[in-house]
Amino acid sequence: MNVLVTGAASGLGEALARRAQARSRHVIGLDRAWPEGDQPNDKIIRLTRDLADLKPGDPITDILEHAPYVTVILNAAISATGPFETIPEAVHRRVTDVNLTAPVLIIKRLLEANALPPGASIVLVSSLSVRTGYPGAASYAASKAALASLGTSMRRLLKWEGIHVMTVFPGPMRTAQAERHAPPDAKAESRMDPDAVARNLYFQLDRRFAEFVPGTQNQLVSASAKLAPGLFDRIMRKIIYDKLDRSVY
Amino acid sequence: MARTVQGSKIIVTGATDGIGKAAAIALKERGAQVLAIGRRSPKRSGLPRTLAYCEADLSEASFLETIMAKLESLGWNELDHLVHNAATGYVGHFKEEPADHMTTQITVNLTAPMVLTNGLAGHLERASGSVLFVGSTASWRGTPHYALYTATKSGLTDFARNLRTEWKGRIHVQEVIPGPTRTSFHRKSGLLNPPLASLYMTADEVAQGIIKSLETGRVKKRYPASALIFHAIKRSVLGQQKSGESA
Repeated sequence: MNVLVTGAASGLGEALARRAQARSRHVIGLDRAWPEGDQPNDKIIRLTRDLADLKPGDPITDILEHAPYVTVILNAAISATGPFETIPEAVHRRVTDVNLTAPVLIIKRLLEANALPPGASIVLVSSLSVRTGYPGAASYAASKAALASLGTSMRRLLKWEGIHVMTVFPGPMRTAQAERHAPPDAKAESRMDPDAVARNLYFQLDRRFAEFVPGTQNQLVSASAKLAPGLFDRIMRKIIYDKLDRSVY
Repeated sequence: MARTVQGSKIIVTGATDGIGKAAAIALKERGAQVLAIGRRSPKRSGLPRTLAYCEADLSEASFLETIMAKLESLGWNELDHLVHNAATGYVGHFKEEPADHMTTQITVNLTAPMVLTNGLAGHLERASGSVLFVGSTASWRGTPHYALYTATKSGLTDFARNLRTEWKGRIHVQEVIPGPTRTSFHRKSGLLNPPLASLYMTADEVAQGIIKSLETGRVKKRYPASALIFHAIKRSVLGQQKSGESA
């Protein structure tokens, strides 16, 4: 009963790994760096790799060594915020590599190696930005939209193999990454606790939901944005893009 | 922001085949200055010699430098329109697609348009120009055997949406979203006999849609299934050629 969580060293990934462990799963966490020293009671197997460097044909033997997996949560992501043209092209490439190419290559390799038995689940962590728009993070938002679309197609493809695919659209969370990329006057307390998102995610996963937006407030925002996307584009520009005082990547 | 394409400086990617080729040629016929981008050698591009051509493989890391050098040699310091048409696809089970083709697909369909737009933002802004993305009606639908292609096109649509909001009043961001089109794309993707292919729009019809969008400034032009039927009837009534691929 192994669970793989990417981006597991901090933020939502850490919360997901901790909760999976509390559910008596063996957790394999993957991240590009880990905090020094062991956490108390932490039995997470730590794999270290930078997903930006994952190349086609990489056998990912470190990941496959712990197969089969009952759940694979592809959560690792990086962002780049600021006026699009001020962010170097190499950064936009890296955002796509980590947020989209790496999940694609990992899923492909896991399927090839029969590392996902019938009944297993793949969870793709997308973003609420797919629904609301996210000017000032155009490449990040594009990668998350692509991931969400991939989830829709893969769900239909893999259901015949007994593998469930769920896509999650979390809004802003109280994480170090969100803090780094938020406008200067953004209120951290209005963001969701990553542990609440993790709890919500497993609840929905147990019920085999196809996709969901964690948090009532975010669900309302998502539904409203669907009704009036143009209005939301203007709102997002005003409350995020216009307030970004620097590029962060 | 209606304006004619005559005399405009326009880049078209994926211009040696299908929609891109049809658009490049039609734009040239309308009096535009066109720089066609393709990965074939100039001799094998199949384009008229009157078109400026730049051989650049969008899946290679160096493509932006190649295109920038070409612009410099042409003396283009500004750009009226950038048409992102190049795309590649794969039909089949996700796990059967070669891994290097997957990364090529993501790069050509999604990353390269972002990188090229990033590199040419200054050129576009100097001309108060526009950037136009060619999307796909397959986006968001959930296509089990076209999963990565539709994912990249969904990403591109989302990218266009956010960039439009960011660049409002500076650079116009447009999208043309065709349905299935009669080009060699399906064959190259591995789909040898696409269903209802006789109903598909031709590359020339989509190219005309692109030109119209550039001239009228229309933000988004989407071709629903009804458009396929409309154009099929139009072809039948006008007795236009039914045959296939434009390349």
